[in-house]
Amino acid sequence: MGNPAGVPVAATGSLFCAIRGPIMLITIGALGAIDHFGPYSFTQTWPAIIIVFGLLKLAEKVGGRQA
Amino acid sequence: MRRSIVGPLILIGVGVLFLLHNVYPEVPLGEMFGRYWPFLLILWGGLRLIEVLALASMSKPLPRSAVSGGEWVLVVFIFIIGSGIYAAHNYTGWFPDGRALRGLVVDFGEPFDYTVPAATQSCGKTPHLIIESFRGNARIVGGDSESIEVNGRKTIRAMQQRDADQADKQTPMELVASNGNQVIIRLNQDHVGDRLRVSHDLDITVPKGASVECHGRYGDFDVRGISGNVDIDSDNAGVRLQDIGGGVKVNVQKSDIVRAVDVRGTVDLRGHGQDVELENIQGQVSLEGAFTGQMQFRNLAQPLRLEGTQTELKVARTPGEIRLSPGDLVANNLVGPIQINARSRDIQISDFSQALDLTVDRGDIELRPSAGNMPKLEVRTRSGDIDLGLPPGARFDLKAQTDHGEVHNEFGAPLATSEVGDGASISGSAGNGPSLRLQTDRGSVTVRKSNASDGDEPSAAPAAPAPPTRQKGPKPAALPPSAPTSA
Repeated sequence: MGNPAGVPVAATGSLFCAIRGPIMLITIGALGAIDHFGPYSFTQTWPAIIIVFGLLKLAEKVGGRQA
Repeated sequence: MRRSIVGPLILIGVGVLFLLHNVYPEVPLGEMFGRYWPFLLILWGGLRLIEVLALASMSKPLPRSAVSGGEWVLVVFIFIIGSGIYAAHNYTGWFPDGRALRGLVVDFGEPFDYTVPAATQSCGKTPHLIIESFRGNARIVGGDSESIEVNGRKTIRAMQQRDADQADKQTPMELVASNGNQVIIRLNQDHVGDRLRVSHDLDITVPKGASVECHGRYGDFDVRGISGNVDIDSDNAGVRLQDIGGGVKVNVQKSDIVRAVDVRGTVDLRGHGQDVELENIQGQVSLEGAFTGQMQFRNLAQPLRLEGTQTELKVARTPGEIRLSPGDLVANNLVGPIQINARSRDIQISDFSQALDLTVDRGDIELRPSAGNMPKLEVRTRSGDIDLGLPPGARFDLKAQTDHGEVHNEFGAPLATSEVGDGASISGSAGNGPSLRLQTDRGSVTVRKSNASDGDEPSAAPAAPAPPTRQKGPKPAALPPSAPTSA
């Protein structure tokens, strides 16, 4: 995953860093949508934000090391 | 340095939303924002993600972070404002006690159905029925008996049959007689945990003389054929009432329709909702709140008072009908005095008498006063055309003026036009009639002869009612059948 075809090694180091913001936005939006239209309230699902943030950090570390 | 396309897109979106709000003020943009803002964030994140991936695939340098600090501040604002609006509109949101109130679009678990054992309570001829904190639908019908009879079904949403069975036992229906003629239907829906949802579908027969008081959370009420009062208070309900002898009070926080037909008492409606239909109401009608769908009033014997966010309306009697839809008010056969104050609406009123005081911020106005009894008019709009059709032979004292626009005199003598600066005016009087004052800041003013075929005073129209000529051809007017001038 650290070095997809066609992406130079120098760029991959910051790829995870760069997608962190968008992914967090999507996560918050999805949790809000589930709160409004789905079965679970935001009061129940908010830890998912921390989990996603952690996963992204982890991916950044692993990806960075591989690069 | 590369800039994202999301910023400009947000600017365009905000502009379009405000424009939409200005053109169609009835569209509940705030409520829509409150409901759909999560998708805005998803869209935003998605676009950013695509941008970053596109840059990466083209081997271009990536930004250190795709969402800047300023943008996060905006996200926080969207989050706070959006959930605030959502909470305000749904009386729920992320406040813990609100969750149970919500009518979820997608619900969890499976529905399990149970029959509610039929229950009867004798109560005399004029009981007062109270349904406590209720989720579900209730049909209440007046009958000839002297007892209250309840039949129905219960639906329990649960993950497992076992949980549902247990919840069924925890929520027995009780009919409690108290205080002489009071009967309470208690459904105990709160006795189950948060994960389960109990709702009832009840058929209730009451004595004809009964009065009814319902406190609901979610579900429809259908009441017919009783001679007492009806009082409904619900977070989210469709209300249908027919043949009610007493007064009606409805208070809804959300509603798809409130319909009342053949009510002998007063009707008092408050809250938020969509469609409203009132027909054959003998008592006064008052409406307060934001109802954003179609509103129809037909045959109201007493004054109507409507206080909405966009429109205020007072009419002494409505033998005909009034229809309000987003952007329009069309009325026919009204008895004044009539008072209308609207922000943005096209107004069309035909066959009305006594007096009309009309103020519109923005909108075209078309008036066809009744032939027999010329009403006094006081009409103002900031922006819009005014089209007044006067019965031939009517008596009046007219002064109409536009600050920016043209005037068209299709009535002929005794009216005369004159130009004043960018605008123009028409004035003239015939006989000793009521004063007609029309004023638009921007727009045209047309005064024409309306067809007097429905005139009830033949002496008032000695000349043969000829269809008016239309040299300048202002906007084609959709006229009611009583004034068929649109050839």
